[in-house]
Amino acid sequence: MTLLTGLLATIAFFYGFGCWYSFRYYKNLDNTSDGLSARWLTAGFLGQGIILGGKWVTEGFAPFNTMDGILTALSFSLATAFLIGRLKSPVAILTSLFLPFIFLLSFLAFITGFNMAPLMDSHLMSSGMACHIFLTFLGFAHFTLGFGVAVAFWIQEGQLKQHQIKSWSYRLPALEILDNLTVFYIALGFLFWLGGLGLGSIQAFQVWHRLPLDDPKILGSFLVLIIYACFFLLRWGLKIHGKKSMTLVMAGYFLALFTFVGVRVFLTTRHLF
Amino acid sequence: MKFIAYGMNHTTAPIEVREKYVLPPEKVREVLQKLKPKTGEVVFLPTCNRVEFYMATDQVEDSLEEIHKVVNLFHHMKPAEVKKYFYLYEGPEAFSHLFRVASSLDSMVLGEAQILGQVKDAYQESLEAGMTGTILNGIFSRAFSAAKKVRSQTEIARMPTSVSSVAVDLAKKIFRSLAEHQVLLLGAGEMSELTAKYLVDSGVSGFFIANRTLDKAKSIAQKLGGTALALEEGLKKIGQVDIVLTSVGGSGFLLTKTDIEKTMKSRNGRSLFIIDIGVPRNVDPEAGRLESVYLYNIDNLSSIAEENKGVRQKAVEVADTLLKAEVDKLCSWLDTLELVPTVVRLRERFEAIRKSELDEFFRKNSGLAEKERKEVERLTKDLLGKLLHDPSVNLKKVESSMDRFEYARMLGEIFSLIERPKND
Repeated sequence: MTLLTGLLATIAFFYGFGCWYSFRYYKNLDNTSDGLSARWLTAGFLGQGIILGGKWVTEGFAPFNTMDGILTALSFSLATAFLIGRLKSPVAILTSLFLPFIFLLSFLAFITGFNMAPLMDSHLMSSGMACHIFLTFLGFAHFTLGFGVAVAFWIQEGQLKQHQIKSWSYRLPALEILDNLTVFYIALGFLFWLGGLGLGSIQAFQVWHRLPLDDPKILGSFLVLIIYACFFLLRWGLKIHGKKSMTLVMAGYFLALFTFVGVRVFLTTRHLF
Repeated sequence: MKFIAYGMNHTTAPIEVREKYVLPPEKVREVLQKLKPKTGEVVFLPTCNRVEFYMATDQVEDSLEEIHKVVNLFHHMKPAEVKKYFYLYEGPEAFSHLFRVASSLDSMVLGEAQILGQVKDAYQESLEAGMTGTILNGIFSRAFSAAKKVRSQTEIARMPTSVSSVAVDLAKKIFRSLAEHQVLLLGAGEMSELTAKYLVDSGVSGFFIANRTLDKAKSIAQKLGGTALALEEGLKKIGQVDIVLTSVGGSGFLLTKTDIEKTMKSRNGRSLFIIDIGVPRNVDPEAGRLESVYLYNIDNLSSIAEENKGVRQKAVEVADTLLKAEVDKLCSWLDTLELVPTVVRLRERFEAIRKSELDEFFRKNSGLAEKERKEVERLTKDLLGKLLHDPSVNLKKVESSMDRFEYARMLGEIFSLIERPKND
């Protein structure tokens, strides 16, 4: 086991402990468990930050050219988005819902860390490219959390409308909190995604001297922006809240997910990942 | 020493008997003071649904007689008349009973929050009166932590079970903080007034009451601290408030779907929570289909309250399993509290005697060779080990924790292992 895989295993352990305490919180609703899960999450987040930063500094380029690097960055982005969300609105129960995903990604990073074959030449990993990738990851992470909170809103709203309040629904926060948090995540995700797309466009102009909109990944990314712009128009312009606006959040996320993962699997793209 | 729980509650005694035992705090102190010289450690818990004495005592029968004698001074009921209402639990059964009481599993309203506070107060009272010692302090602190565990790890107290508290809880499921929202009460029924009181107590930012009879509205507004309005004025307020409670008499809908639809347009997407307690209903049920409108009638609220009661009932089994583990832990603690230290003290005492006698012997026989001295020392050590082996093993064989406690106590008395206060 190399130093890197050892570190990745440690991070996975940190997130694993966080998961354990978040499950305990879900079961017992005790603040001690929530506090401990947040501490382990922060420890994992800091550890991943050190790994990514350390590799960037020592190797001279951002470590997004290997699968473990990509998974670590994605997990790190989710943890970043999650911690930002906790600062905005400390809804303890959301830790129980999201931390398992962060743990899973970090665990996959550890597994793939044994085979660190680069997916692309390191000389292609310019600072601009690295920022493009990282901003897009951050945007996707925020959209993921926004989607998760929107699903929680959908479930909670459905129960309140149907007068069927199940016992686990008492663990979910108020609709107003879920609504505000969704807007917060989508707004931040929109900015990061826009930034990532802007930097990506500059890269594209440098390489191909045009923006290849025929690439489904680029086209999909722009469509995601349009859907989320409609979401803001609906809320702030037409003052439509509730399930209708949450439907747009979900639609936007499914497209973002397809653009992020599905395009590479089902379609042809110039992007390596 | 035995731990007992002696008392009566709402299932064993009628209100006419229970009420006689409800004493003001100063009388409770007096009861404790009077019990002090005759009984061991005592905690006296008098609430409206139960009167209980928790005791660690050597003389159970005498202590129970003393309790009746003392309490009789305050209610003048003959012990023979009231004894039939009392129950007596001993040892682990008594621990289990105390844990169930503190966790509100033995309450009239399952999962109610007050009882834990009442048990804590009763314990505090005894503690201050010097009526508790190592045993009761240990047992009660474990009862409090067990109760906390039951409340946090089971569904026993998580969900509201009264119509009014369900309404407040639903409001909290819709809005982040009630302190940012206003309530409008249309009409003045008993149930709607009670629900409005719950909402006001939960800290809503404003409260309006509109009624056909303005005087009645004024009287409620004064009571709950709100603004009184005529019914027509109140209806105009709907766009401004976020929670509407209706309980207006008369046929036909007071608020139609169209009315609400119009109101919602002016609310910029803000949610509206309507609690229609009126029978016949005041609000068109179709309005509940509108986006961001949450409409509940009395049946909806009642059925949630009933469902929650069922959830609490189911949680009892889980809570009992949890408490059983806590009782076992308590029994183990009591074992270690008495058994281990007694055996250790016994060995220490014998060892001290052995050493002192050996020193005396060596002083008198100073001519002994080193080898002989070692032989004598080994002989005394072996002798001591063999003498103490059987009592130590047999003590551990005693099964009942209370009996072990008793044996250990007797050993302590016989071999002077217990330090007694100077005035004892």
